[in-house]
Amino acid sequence: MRQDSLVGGSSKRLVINRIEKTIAPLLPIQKNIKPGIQRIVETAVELSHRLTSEKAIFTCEMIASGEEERENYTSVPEDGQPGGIVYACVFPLFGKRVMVGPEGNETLQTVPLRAASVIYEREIEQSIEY
Amino acid sequence: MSSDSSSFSTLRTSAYVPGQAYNANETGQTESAPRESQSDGHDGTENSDKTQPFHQQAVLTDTELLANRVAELEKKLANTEKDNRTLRSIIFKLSAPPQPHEDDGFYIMKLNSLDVSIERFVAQSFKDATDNYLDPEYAYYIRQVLGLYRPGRALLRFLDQRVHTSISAIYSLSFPRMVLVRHIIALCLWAHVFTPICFGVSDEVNKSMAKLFDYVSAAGMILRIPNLTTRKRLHESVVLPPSHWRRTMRTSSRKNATRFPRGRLLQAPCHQPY
Repeated sequence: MRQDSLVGGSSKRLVINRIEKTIAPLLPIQKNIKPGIQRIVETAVELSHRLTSEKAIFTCEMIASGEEERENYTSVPEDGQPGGIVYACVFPLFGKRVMVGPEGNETLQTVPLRAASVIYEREIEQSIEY
Repeated sequence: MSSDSSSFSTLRTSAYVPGQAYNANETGQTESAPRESQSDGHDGTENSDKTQPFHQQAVLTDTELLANRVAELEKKLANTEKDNRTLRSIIFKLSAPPQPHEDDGFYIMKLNSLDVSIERFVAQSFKDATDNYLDPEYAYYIRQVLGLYRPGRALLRFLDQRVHTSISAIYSLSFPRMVLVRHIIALCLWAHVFTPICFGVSDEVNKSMAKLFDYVSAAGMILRIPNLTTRKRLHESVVLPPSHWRRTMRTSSRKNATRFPRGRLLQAPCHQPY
């Protein structure tokens, strides 16, 4: 299995197939998986096309499992309590590149635009206890 | 512009030439002076002490004319400087730095909407979940897919260190299982849709374009590749790492006496999608 196997004329179909093939065994209800994934991928691709002209401004990153909660970079838990350690990132972080600093001494920095949606280890433990 | 040139020609024509009759049609004042002096000459009594030679009167009139003209030009200059300031401010507004096509709010709204649609899709697929057994072959396949991506590998490492480690163990628990599904969808969208510069283009082209974008962003100016004449060399430079470009730019900056902001380049983010 190669990671660059998703290139070619029908990239969208290949992405849909990969997601479908991977998550299908995990889903209890196997009905209408493909249309659902298709809708998600099409929405994402449309948004990506909009971002294409502004790629130099926007960035996309995943938060790695095991990292600590970071304000503005990771989502706030629903119960409002401190998150702690990230279990899994379920939606990537989007950042924006801007020049920051006094005039003449600006530096290029990436500031968070939309925090990544993450599930914390604490939430997983709570769900298991419940 | 035309009024200036005509005035200038007037000035030139109105210059006094000794031995010739002075005739400046513009003012009338200069015409009357010789006539006055002539009449004075005829009377010969009243203003004989004030009478001046013709050439001296013409010179005085010329000086006055020049003074008027200078005053007029000074006024024009002041007006032009004022216009220039206005024009500069308009040009500055027109050539403002590039901004995103849409507001930040637009993208945030779209991203939130996508996140919610993924969550809903997964939640709908988990209604009436009864099955708790996952085929080990599938579990192995999922591990393989996760291992393809850097964040997926981080999750596998993290799971290996925790209690509910295996994919099969996660499968038996509804909430962690949903989280895993959402994580896999996010991974695929991140790696294949959002990270590439252009969706559907090969990885090599995307990586080269990403390097170019980083380079231009870090430099904060339009890209200039020095000493490139042939298409082949341009292609080579695109696939070369940014460190090579920094060296090239530094070398060329010595020749061209232009300083390149090294500190800003070093802070440039680097695309390492997988």
